[in-house]
Amino acid sequence: MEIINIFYLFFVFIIFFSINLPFSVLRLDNNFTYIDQLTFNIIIQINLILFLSLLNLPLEKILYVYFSYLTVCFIFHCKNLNKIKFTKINHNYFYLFILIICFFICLDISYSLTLDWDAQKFWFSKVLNFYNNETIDNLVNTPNSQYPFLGSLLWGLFWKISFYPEEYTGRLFYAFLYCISIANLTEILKLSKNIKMIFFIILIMLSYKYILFSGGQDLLIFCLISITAKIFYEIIDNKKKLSIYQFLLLLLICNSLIWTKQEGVIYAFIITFVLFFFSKINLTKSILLLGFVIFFFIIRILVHEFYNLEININSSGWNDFSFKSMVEKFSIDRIVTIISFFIFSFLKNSFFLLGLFFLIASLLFRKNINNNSYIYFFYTLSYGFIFSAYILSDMELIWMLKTGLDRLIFSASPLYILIVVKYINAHNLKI
Amino acid sequence: MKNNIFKIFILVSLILILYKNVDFFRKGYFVLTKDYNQRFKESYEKDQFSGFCSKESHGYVHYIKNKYKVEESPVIINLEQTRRKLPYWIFYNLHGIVDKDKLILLNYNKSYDNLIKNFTIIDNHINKCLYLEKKNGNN
Repeated sequence: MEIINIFYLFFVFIIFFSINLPFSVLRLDNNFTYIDQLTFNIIIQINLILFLSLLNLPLEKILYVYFSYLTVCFIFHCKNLNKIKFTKINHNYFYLFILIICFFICLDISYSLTLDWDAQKFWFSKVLNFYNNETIDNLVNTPNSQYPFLGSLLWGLFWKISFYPEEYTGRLFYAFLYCISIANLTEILKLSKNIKMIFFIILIMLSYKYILFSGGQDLLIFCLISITAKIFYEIIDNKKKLSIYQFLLLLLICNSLIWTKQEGVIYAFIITFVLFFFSKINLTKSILLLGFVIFFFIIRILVHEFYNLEININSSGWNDFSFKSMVEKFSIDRIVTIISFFIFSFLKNSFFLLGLFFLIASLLFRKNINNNSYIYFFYTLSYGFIFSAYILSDMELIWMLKTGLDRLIFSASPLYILIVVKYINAHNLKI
Repeated sequence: MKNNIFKIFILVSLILILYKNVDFFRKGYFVLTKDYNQRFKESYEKDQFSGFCSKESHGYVHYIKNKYKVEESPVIINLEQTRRKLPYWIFYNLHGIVDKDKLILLNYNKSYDNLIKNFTIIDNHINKCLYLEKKNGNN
């Protein structure tokens, strides 16, 4: 029964996320792969679901509208069936391979089942709110109502769609998104499908842990940043023009980040700044992007205000922002503690170690090192933010570092893989 | 040709390593052969913060939910000295909705006898985890 349910959800994910927008902007780009298509549709659809939830609709009504949207798109594509280009047959085994790995991960989730501390305490009560057909209006009655809820909403939605009534079925979507985002990183490689498959499985082996799927939202941040990494590579390294598809995708990723976790807001702005300073996209588009991210952030604040959800971050461990207290917190002891925990977390992060290895290799063996400055910029801002969050925290520092830092380092880690991919692509490694 | 065989060899080896590391075969087998309730119980028995009837006792709470077909969460009290999370979420109810006439006591011992004098014991696991119902007429 449960195995059938996993297959059923697989079928749902593949069918739903293969349905394109009716007036597809995808046609603007001929180099579109099936993974690009899935990625774009996932991001579009999760934003649609989010938008519907903001209208204070219960999950059942959201599902009606969502299914109607999919039906309209499907009918449109049936009309234009002769225009649809199917993926080349010789690529299909790569996609099948991704699905098989995804199935393995789903099995692990179905077996392991436990929810992590944060999930039990905060995120799952939001899932239950949606699952029990309540609207965002009622989120005020859940713990830490200032937390965003996109991940919980999706968890609840796919749990509702599933015919097996246990919560873990909603988390299978996380596994699907994770595999698609790793596939996005893999597709940057300019090598054969076999090598991409090897690279894909290496990345899974280095990053996969059940704890990431135990209900925390860091995995979603990781996935969204992985998808962004591919756009960075195309826009900044390949110096391609920012297409409408990429612009739209970036906007929706930033919006999804804002509604996934508190720190997602910071990542949304960092992504915009990276494009602003390092890409050659024109100023109008850069300003438009920044303007939209600010607009999305203001929308979030207004939605929280409108539905009486908390906005302040005080209850999350930051209470005293007086100058005196901030100066006191910048003690040598605290700085050394945070830095030592950073070092331990880096040593535990496989993506960081892999990136570092390739960075050293490029320094040792080649003089013409690729331009990684935007990656350094991204991490300087990200880690600067994480460092500030810890140093200014009023809660017990060591406990906060022990329970949170590894996850934060993990969620920002996909850009390290760009160093690896760039090295392989730039030096045309014959594997 | 040789190159292709080498790539396939690498790929198969990596799949096998992943397979072994995550132990997919055993887990897949258990998903097929054990039902959800049994897997839930076993998973939380391995959890460092929980057990069947120790620490946060997810296993016992889940067992009560299934055995007595409880739909609305009873009040849950954990009497352990260490502060523990209370696993209300197991009942899949909205946050804060509880049936105040029913009580689950976790990590109970005889020194708390006063606490249960107004209750009838419905389920008792080794005098440590109890499921109780308020006696008629008591508030």
